[in-house]
Amino acid sequence: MAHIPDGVLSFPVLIGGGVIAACAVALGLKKIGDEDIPRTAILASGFFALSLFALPVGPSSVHLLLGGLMGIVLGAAIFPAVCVALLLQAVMFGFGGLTTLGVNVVNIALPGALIGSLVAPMIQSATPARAALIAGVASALCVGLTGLLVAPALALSSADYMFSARVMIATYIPLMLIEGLVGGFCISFVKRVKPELLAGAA
Amino acid sequence: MSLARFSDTPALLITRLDPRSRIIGAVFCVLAAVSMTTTVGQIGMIIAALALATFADVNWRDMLHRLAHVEGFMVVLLILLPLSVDGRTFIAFGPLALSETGLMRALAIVLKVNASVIATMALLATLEPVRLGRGMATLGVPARLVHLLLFLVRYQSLFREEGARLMEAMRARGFAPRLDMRTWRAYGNFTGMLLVRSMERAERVEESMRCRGFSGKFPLRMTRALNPTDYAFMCLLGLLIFGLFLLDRLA
Repeated sequence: MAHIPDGVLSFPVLIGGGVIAACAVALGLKKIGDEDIPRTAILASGFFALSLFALPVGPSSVHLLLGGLMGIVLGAAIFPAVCVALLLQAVMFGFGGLTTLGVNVVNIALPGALIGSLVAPMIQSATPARAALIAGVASALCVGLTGLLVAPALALSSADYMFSARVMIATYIPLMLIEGLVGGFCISFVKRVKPELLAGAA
Repeated sequence: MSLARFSDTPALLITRLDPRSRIIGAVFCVLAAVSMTTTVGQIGMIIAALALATFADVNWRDMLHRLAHVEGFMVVLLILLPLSVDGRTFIAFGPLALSETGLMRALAIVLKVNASVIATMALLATLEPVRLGRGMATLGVPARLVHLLLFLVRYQSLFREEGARLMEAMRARGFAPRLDMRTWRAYGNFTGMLLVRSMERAERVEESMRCRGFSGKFPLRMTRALNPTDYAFMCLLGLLIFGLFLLDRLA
């Protein structure tokens, strides 16, 4: 449950998330030059489309969060990219919400931005195998951090959510594993096929 | 969903409204829905949202589908609340006791979340994405962010089709998802391939836009003034929300 809907969180949490997200989105927009907009936007659309795919896993299916991969490829532009993607999802598909937009942007994009900016230079100079390992660990960590951000957003909103938040964290563990594996193999593929994609965060 | 124009039946009130009043209306409806503190107020807000939906070009089957999805999403929270919140026992199944307080909290969340989703759908989902973007830009959202949104609307549907083709090609080559390394590698390659394709598409589009003199800006701001209908709608909506707040705080 990375997309928290309207009506679940308390106002202080919503406002806190909104302010942090607004600053981060502004920072990300500053980093994108006017001429880079089509490039960044189309790459972001690729990530958005990917996150909408339900990948069958055993009897169920998962949606990838892609925080780690987006952080590595988009850099600081991850904030505006995730912001518009979540807005579109809330408006067009009813996932997430308008008041929770800020909190959800922080939960998904912040881990990606932090870890992505840390590992992107390492991945650029690494061999495909090493790059895959780094990207895999980074992707898994991002999912874990998202879980660790969703839980306090719930727990700070109301003490009632404490137990649910703990259960939710447990559900993130298999997701970390899956996202880590897929993210690792993805970067190994990109590194061999089109390393320019990792050349520099847009 | 693509850039294709949505069918607009001119008879319905909400489809005739300016995107700006629909955006403002949606934000206020959702803010009101999440601030209701009593069951009466929350139910009132649901009724108000449904009333809005009847004046919009809403596809009801789509709406039910979407609400079912949202409920499925929160199911963990809704099941756990009555079990984990302390309070007078309402019903007990063996060692599992559902508390009354927990049930009431869960009910409040269900009502608030659904009212928000219905209101958003009534006012914004029926709005053509391009008009949504222009409305946002005119209301002061940074132009770059709106450009991102408009590109996203266009290219996400394109890449979803591309992804579906890739998946189909994988199946044609005998891929069946299992819980093994090969499956994860296949998903990784799929993800990587779609990213490579988006990168290549991005380069082509960028070049062709440069070639046509794109300097980073599209005309976005709407210059048309709001209609009297828009002012009337906002006043009525404001009164309705104010009335519901009175009901909520006094009930």
